[in-house]
Amino acid sequence: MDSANLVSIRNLTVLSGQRVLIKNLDLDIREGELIGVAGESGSGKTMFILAMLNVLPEGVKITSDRFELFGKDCRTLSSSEWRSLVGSHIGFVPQNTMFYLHPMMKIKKQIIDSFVSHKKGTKEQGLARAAELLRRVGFDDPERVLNSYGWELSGGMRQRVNIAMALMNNPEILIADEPTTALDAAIQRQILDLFKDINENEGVTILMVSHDLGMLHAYSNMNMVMYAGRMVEFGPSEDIFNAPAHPYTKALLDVIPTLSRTADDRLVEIPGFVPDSGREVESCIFADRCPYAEDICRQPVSMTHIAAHHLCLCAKPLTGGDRNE
Amino acid sequence: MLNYCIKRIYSAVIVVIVVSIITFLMLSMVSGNAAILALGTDATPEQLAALEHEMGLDLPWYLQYFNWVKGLVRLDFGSSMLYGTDVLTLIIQRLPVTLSLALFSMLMSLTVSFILGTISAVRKGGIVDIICRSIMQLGTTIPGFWLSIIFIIYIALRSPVFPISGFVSPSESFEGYLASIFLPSLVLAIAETGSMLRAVRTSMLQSLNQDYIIMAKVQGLPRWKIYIKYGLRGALAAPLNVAGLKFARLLGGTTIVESVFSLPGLGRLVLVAVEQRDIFLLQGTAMFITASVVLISLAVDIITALMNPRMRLEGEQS
Amino acid sequence: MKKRILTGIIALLLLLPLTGCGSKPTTDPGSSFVIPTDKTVLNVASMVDPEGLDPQKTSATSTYEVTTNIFESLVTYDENWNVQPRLAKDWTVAEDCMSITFKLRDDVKFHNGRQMTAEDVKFSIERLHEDDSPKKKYYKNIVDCVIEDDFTITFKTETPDPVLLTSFAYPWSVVVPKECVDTLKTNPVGTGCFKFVEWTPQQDLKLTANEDYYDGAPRIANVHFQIVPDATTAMVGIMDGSFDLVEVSGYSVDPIKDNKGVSIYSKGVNAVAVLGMNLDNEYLKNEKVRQAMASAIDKDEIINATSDGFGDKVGSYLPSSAAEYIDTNDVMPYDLEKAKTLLAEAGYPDGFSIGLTLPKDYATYTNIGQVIADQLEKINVHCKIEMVEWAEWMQNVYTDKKYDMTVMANTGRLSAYDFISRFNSASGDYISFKTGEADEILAKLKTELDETERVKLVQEFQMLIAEKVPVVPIESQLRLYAMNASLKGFAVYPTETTDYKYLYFE
Repeated sequence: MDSANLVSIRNLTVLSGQRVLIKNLDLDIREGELIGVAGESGSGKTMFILAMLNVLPEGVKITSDRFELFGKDCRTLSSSEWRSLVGSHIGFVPQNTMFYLHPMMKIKKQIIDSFVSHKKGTKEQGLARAAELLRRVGFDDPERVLNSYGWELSGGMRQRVNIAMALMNNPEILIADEPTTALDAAIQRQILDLFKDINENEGVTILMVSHDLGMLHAYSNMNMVMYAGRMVEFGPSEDIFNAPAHPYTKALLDVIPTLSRTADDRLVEIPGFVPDSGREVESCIFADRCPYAEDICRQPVSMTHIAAHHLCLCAKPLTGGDRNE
Repeated sequence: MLNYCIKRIYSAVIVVIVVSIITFLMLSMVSGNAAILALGTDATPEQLAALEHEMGLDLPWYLQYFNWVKGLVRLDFGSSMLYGTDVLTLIIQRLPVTLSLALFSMLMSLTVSFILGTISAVRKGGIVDIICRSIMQLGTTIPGFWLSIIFIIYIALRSPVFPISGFVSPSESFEGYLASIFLPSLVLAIAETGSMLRAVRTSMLQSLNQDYIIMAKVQGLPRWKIYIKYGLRGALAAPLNVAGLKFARLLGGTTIVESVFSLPGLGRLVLVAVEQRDIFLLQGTAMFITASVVLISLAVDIITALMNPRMRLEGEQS
Repeated sequence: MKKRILTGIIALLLLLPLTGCGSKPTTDPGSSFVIPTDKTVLNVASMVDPEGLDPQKTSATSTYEVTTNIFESLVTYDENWNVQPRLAKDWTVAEDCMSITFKLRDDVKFHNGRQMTAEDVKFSIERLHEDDSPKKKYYKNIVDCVIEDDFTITFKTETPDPVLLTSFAYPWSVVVPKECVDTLKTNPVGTGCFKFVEWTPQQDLKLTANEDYYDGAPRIANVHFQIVPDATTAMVGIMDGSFDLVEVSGYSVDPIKDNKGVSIYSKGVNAVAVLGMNLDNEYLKNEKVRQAMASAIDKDEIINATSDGFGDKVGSYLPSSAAEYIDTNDVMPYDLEKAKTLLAEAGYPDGFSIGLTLPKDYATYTNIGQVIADQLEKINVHCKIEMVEWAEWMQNVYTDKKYDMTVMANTGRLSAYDFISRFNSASGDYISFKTGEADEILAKLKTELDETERVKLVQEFQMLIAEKVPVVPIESQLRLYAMNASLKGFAVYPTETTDYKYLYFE
């Protein structure tokens, strides 16, 4: 909307051949937010992130009416210019910690690559910064970590290395894709605390994907709920968690997992499955699984403002009464 | 890592011993009496018996084997009936030729394979990829002897640089040495490049699908860094392993090229030993080659383990 | 670092064709030949290595080809089967054919500088009696040796031998120095006009002219044998001048015969390729069966199919180059109808099956065998072809006689008697003729000393073989050499060797 937005996307559609993966997604990210992205497996969260980072798998194409990162129109950039923009402004913390670190290189060899490539400083400066960041993410002996291979570290340590690596270029946005999957509860908390700390004290905007609404409740200040390739609800945490407007959000909240819950990516408690195909329909795509579905839900649906920053893609948003059921 | 090496060496020794027994038995059972061959058609039975006794061929096989192994341990491979020379000396004389062929052809093949294979994987479906796929198809199907003859007729005969036959020792003239092994190495390289290219391309494609490539891309690294530093590094192990085994195989597999280009290599030594039933020469060369193959694959395994740090750990744990 | 190495390798590969050198003689790219001027190096391409260089301890022709130029025998046979003096300047055979006395040259020196005397001749001939001498059995009749003086020596036999002289003309009956015998296999020392320089097995072998040779140094200064196992490479080499002399096979003559720089030499070998038959076999002991087979075999077709016509058809067991040779091709000519009749008369109107064992290392013989099998099919004789390794052939066929039929040519002897004596029923040979008719003639030959009578007997023997067909003689193959057109003086001797002593470039 305005230039203060770090990210501004309008009508983003992601297609794999004829198949629609993400449909008509609009999103603005303002500086300083800690946005949680929620949704079941297959809802398009990861695909959305890959689209922003311009690392979509082969054969997957995007169209949009607007795609701006830090005020630059990505649609006019070449692929490598786009990646360069991403590389110098965005830090990425991946989901699976094992294979994002190259197994045949010591950490010191890869952690400074981006730093040096984007001319943020020399190799030596890079190593010094890496050591500082490793200390920041909780390592007492950064030198040892730098001289290790990724696979020599535990999952939690690896994720902290990934975070340090993502912070190397002083990013404006940190994008984290399920950053705590497969980690035990204590380490999950450490890492999430770290994110919160980075967000609050260093003003780094964070976009954090998780299927775990309970976790998002505790840490995020804005939330985006995705279902079958669409953003179905977007709004501040207090609204989303206390007064969900979309029946899907409500359903998710009803089966909220605790932090101790192990990684089971699918919320089996909601009857039915996230539809894999047929995402191109204009009507509500959750209607088939929605306990509140009526005839109107079969009509084309559009995003409605529930409150100033609270959006919902539902023909019949829930009101207070429904919410308390 | 040490554990892994010890275990690998241990199994290699077992293989060598088993191979030595098989080699010995197989070659001893091959029909045709070495003594008859030495003496020719005009020899009398008494002469044959005397010679057999002298060669120890009248002993039971286990004693023959024992005597043979006793010699091997002292690096005494016996003496060739054909040439009247020590078998080990003959092998060592030939080693430079075959090693040069194997080394040069592997270098050529690896260079081309890594360049083309990388481009082909990065630009899948591009023009280089299409060329590469044709090479993979063609390379292995062109018969070596035919290609050798074509090279002799169309290159060696017309160019003043390459000799049509013979080996020049590097100590004699280094340029001459290179010229004398260039064409035969090229023939071998062409035969090997098909599968080598396939190994590089497949391995590179796999590597490019790894998460660390996504990470490198997200970090906005320059292309060459993504493909070479991250992609290729992750793709090295499998092709180098293949190359090592190919190299080992070439030690005994350059016979045709050696014959057409008249190079005095190991392959021809084996061939002549077979043709002439020079039993000590045959046993010696067969043993030497199999032992080399075992040792090289041992070395390849250990180098691969060293290159892939993860294996060091696994080796220790297992 | 890695990048630099890679760049280096690529640069090397690109530059290699440009860096020039190589020791190849210069050639004009237009014509593929250059007439050499004052050329004294003879480049010979050999398919195989010699089997050691001690001619008394091997039976390999490849060895004799080299050693004939290093070692010498007492006498030699020239191209036309005439005996010529060599180390012996004169000789006398006793009337009873039981001894022979040689007068030796007194100006012969071994390559190590020592003078050759009768003592060396005695030692050398006695060395042929040793157990590891492949020719031992041919010398067992020589039972005594008397040194009359330093340069006169007499050999005595147990029984009369009318062709005793020939025993001293073979490539293995050469004179070797006693003090060098232990290393002759790798470092030969003889009296010949070429001295051994070095031998790298499977690579090359070098000889150099013996400047002290009693007959004057040869015109060729250096002989360089290169081991070239591939026939095509050798052909290319003879055309581009890398080689001056190479033995070739029939099929390769056509592409080179029109090349101006190359000449072709051909000479009938001193051997007869035969369809050997085991006369103990149920079918083959029947004379009519053998005659039927002989009539069913079209020798012209065989020669055309297997050696491009380079061969002399023969009707009996004596090579076309031999002095006593008579043409017996009309005795049992190709006649399919007659063959069928003979087979029916023998009691096999519907034919039979029989084994044909072929040595697979010898393409010539396996090819002939396959054509024969094809031809015999027409009279319903089915050959079951079995390909065996040479060693197996030697064992099963030659030594143990466990075979039905085979194809082989046994190389030549200097006397017709030696050549045909393998048909003696007691010879233990794989193609013995056991009815006694051969024995009779052979016995007469053994004692008959009159040369005219001997020729008659040999001719009678040829007729006998042609009629009774103990083997089906096929051909005397032609030995073919391609050589530098300016190389003169080349000849193949009855011993199947060549003497570089007489070679020169024009």
